[in-house]
Amino acid sequence: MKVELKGISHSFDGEEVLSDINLEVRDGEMLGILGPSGCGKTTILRIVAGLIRPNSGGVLFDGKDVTDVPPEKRNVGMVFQSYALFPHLNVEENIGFGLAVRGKRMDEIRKRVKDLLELVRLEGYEKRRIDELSGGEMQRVALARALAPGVDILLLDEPLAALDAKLRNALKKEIRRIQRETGVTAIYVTHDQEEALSISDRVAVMSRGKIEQIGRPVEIYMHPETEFVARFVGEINMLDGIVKGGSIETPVGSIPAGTDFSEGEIVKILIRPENLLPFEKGECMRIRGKIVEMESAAGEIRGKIKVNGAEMMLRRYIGEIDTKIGDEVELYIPLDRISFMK
Amino acid sequence: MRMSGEALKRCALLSTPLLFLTLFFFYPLFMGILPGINDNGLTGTYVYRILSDPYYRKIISFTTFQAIASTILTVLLGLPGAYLISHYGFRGKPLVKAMTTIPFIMPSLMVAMGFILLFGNRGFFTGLLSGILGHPVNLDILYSWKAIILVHAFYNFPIVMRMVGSSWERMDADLEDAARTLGASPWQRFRHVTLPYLYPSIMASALLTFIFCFMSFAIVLILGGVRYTTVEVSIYTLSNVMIKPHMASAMAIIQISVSLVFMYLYLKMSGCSIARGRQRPMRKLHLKDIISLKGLGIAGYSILITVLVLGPMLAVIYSSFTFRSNGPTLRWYQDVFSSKAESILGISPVEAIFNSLYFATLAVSISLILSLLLSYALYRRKNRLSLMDPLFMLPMGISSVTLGFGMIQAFINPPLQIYGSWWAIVVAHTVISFPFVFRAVSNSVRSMNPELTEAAKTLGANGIQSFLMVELPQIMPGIIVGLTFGFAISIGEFGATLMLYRPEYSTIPIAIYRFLGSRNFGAATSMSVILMLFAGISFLMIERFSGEKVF
Amino acid sequence: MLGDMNPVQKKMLAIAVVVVILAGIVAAYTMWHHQKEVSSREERLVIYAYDSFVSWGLSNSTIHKFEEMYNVTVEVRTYGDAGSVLNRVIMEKSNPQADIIVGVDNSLLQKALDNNVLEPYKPANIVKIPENLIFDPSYHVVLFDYGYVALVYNKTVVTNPPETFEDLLSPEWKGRLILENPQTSSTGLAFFDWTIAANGNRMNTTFWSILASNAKITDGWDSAFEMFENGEGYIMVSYATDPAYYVEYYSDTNYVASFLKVNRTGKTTGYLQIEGMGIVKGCKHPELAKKFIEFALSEDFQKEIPLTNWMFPVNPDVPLPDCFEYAVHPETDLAIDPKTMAENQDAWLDEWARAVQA
Repeated sequence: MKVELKGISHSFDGEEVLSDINLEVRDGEMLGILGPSGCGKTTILRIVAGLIRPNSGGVLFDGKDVTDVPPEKRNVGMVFQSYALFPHLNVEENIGFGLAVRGKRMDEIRKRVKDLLELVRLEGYEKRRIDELSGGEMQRVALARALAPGVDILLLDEPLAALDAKLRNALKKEIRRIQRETGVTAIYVTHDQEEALSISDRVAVMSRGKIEQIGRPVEIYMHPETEFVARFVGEINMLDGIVKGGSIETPVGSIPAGTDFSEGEIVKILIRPENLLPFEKGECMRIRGKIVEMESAAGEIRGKIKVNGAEMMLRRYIGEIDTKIGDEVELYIPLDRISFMK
Repeated sequence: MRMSGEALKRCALLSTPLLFLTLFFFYPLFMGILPGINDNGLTGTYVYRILSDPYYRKIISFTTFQAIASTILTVLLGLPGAYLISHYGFRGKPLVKAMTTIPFIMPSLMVAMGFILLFGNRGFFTGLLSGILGHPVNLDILYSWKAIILVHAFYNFPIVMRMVGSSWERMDADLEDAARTLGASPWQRFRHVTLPYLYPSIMASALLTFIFCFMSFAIVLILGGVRYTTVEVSIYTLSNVMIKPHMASAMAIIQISVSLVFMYLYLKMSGCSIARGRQRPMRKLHLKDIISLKGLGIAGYSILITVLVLGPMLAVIYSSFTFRSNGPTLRWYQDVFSSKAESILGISPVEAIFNSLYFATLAVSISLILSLLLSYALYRRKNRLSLMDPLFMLPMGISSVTLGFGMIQAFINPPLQIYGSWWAIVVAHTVISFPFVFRAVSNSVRSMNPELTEAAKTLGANGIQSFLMVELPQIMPGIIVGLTFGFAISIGEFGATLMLYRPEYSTIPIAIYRFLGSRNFGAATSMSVILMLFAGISFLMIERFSGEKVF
Repeated sequence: MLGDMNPVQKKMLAIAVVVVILAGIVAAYTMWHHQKEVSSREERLVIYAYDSFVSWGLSNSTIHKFEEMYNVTVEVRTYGDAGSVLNRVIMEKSNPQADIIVGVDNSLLQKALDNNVLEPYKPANIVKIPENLIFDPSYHVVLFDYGYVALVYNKTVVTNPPETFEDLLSPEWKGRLILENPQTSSTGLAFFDWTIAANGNRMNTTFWSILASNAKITDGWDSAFEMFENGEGYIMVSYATDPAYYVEYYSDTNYVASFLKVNRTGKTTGYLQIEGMGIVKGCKHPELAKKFIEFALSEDFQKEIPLTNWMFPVNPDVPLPDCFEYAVHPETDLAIDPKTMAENQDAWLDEWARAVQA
């Protein structure tokens, strides 16, 4: 099912939390909404669920306006950050809840719960009490419960935030697998860029109630359209440059300007730390500088190089370079890995 | 458009409880105080006349004095108890907690008797003391302001113990531990960490105690002697003896004003948020705790409480099983089921017990529905205390004399002519038990997890389904506490029932009163034991859901 | 069937069951009371009386006879002491519930008349009654018994009882006298009026202010009696017939009643409390009420008074039981004429309250 948000604006207590949001989630796609806390991403999710009615704008499911349809009639499933499992019901009753309120018979409910427990790999957990479950198990039950009624849209609100790193990784894959298997349209809200980029088909990056950029994870990473996106998604070196005689002058050297820029224009140059290479690859920009910071962790080396007074982050795998603090080195930046922003 | 729908829903929720309270509480209350401000037009003459008369001023100041003194004594008596129930686990603790709560609903006539049996000239403790000292002693506590204060402490002790105790129980143990690592001595920890934390609950319980003591009636009348008149007694005298309704109502207005102010402060204090954190595990009371200096303190305190709080009740129980000095007997209980008792009451005592249970069941059922509607309308979204809240709690702070008088005035004439029917009693019991039910229910509605409701909605549950399946289980402990406490209040209600009853609608307290009035002290005590039994069972049920606020 | 239901349906069913049960209880209770009303006879005389009218047995020993005589049902409702009963009738003035009020005595009479709640009726058999006892010549209230308030004590405990009013103030009796509050008790009011009459129809502020700190003053006769029984005091203000009660029930002749003198050389005085009943104005069964008043003066009613109400019957034809030998009479009667009483009672009580305030 396709979900569209058209010109959504909303405010709480006179403070605007969303302004003119336009968003389309394609049928069967997993859309990630990424942004820092307080940016309004959860509000979007609640608006799609129907828990909040936006002050203005509309919500469309498959082209049908559902703005005034109450949440219980929208046929969406939602996984809450705190899971919001009903503590007084057991696993089976939790998962079967959506079916019970739809008036389904008990035998039908039992069968469906069994199937779902299989899907989330918790076979035999029917009679467990909620307080007997671990965080990961609760997460799976919450997911199964949201899917149980056979929903058209699945909404996930920071579903992994309360779990530790290892579990998070495994469950992230599970969620992706289940979403693919069921073919449900999903919106995944998170503040963790890695999570968003790895799980989503497309990502919408939000800041202060506005959508900064929507695109495939690779696009977002490689070609951030705004400074916010650039800084929020991954680490990045950002340099100021000025267009002078066909090239852009930066503190670390000059780059061919191409045809997009006019003389005297101020340009921001964005370079990911992993694009500072110890070898030449295609057409490159050369920089020389002194290593001022260097640390290695889990197969990776992170460091800083000081070039003409400007510091740049670099990231390599262990063994690719062999330097220590104070060394003078020369590094290469492929021109096609450099982004510009006006 | 949806916003106005939301507002409409709120209005619909509000309308039933507001209509009920307006018809059956505010309207009678208005009828009760109207003469005080009305003399062919609005007037302040009567209030002024009372405030300018030294006799009435003295009554007001004595009432205030005894209420303050009673409150201080109650708090001092209740704090160690709060410490004990919040820090120690021991066998029979629920029973002890339930037992010490019974005084709150004991009929004052019976309490007075209990105190006479213990501290009177021929009382148990007077005799004990005389025996120890070897010469006759006169404790001389009763029939003076000392008796009033002592009995008030007896009545309100459970409020302080329970309110402060439950707050102490929830105190984050890390706070005290943090202070300890910072090098604070035990006294400094108590003074600078524990006390500020407990402050709201101590103040709230003290304010509530003050309200109850300020309105005290029967105790002052029976044990205070005539020399110590309080505002409530004076309202009674003015309205029922001197037939000066204007002055009586003016006095009632002064009393209600005080009640309202203190009720507001009480709600404000008890609404102060409680930071939850790591809970201190209950310490098991071991033998070595008992044989130590601290143990000596605990033992001493337990004896004091047994004497002061349980003593009067035990005395009543004891005398219900004894005949003069002829040893144990069951005759008083047989009396309760005899035809003689029936001729005194007009119905059999068994029917009176049945009436009590019936009125209480109906009253708390109605109270529950009203409380649910009101809580949903008021607290589902916002959590702020409004000026309206003390109004809903006001039945707790209104004298039964004023309310009973107003109810007769309101119910005897059209349009609300229910005087003489059992509905009038149910209505009165509903109004009186309402604040207790409302308090427990609204507290639990406020602490409901809104996300669970949202989850239910996204799962397709409509309003009724999510209420029944998700919200009701969350507020169930609050509901049970409210219901049982309201039930106990209704079972023990006397003042308003006396104004509205007919013999066939006699309740247990009415039966006790009638037995006492007919030299059937034995039957009165056995009926009191039955009443205590019902109340005790109710409070034991609350213990099963401990942690819920009662007051 | 139940097994096939899902949890939501089960819950709905449970709620419905609770509602049905509650409704059933209400319906059953209503039916039960309705049944009781129907099964009783059509005509229903409602009498408001003080507690002891029922609890001591006067009602029980007389009412059934009246019910049989006229084939009616009599319902007696009691509301505390005589003052509270009158007060109830006054409060119900706009919609009277009672036909008859029992217990308006000479101290309460004026209050009843002032509030205009009674219907006058002069019964035919009043001619038998000694004229000096008739305290309401307007016959709003018709007397049925009388007695004296007196000091009651155990003569083995109290060997030198107070003889004069002054004696009551002696430190010897500090904490040992039990009185009743005149504002809340009719016995207390009778004693209060006695002290007024003894003082030349004036309220003696000093006397009462000292007496209040010397005595224990309870709210009513019942609590006073409980205190007396429990040894809270040695002397209690009660009735001159109390010794008869102790003889009849406990065969105990140690309890005596005594009266007080105005001064040591004078005669003992007593204050006569005369109790009456009246027809409530605007009542539903005025004719039946009149019959009841007649009945109350008849021997059938009067002969039960001594041993159940512990007062003297007003009908001189009625023989007194043996134990009434122990009931005493004063040498002289003190009384306050109705007019003085009417004009001053409220003021006296107000002065009294101020005098006893600590």
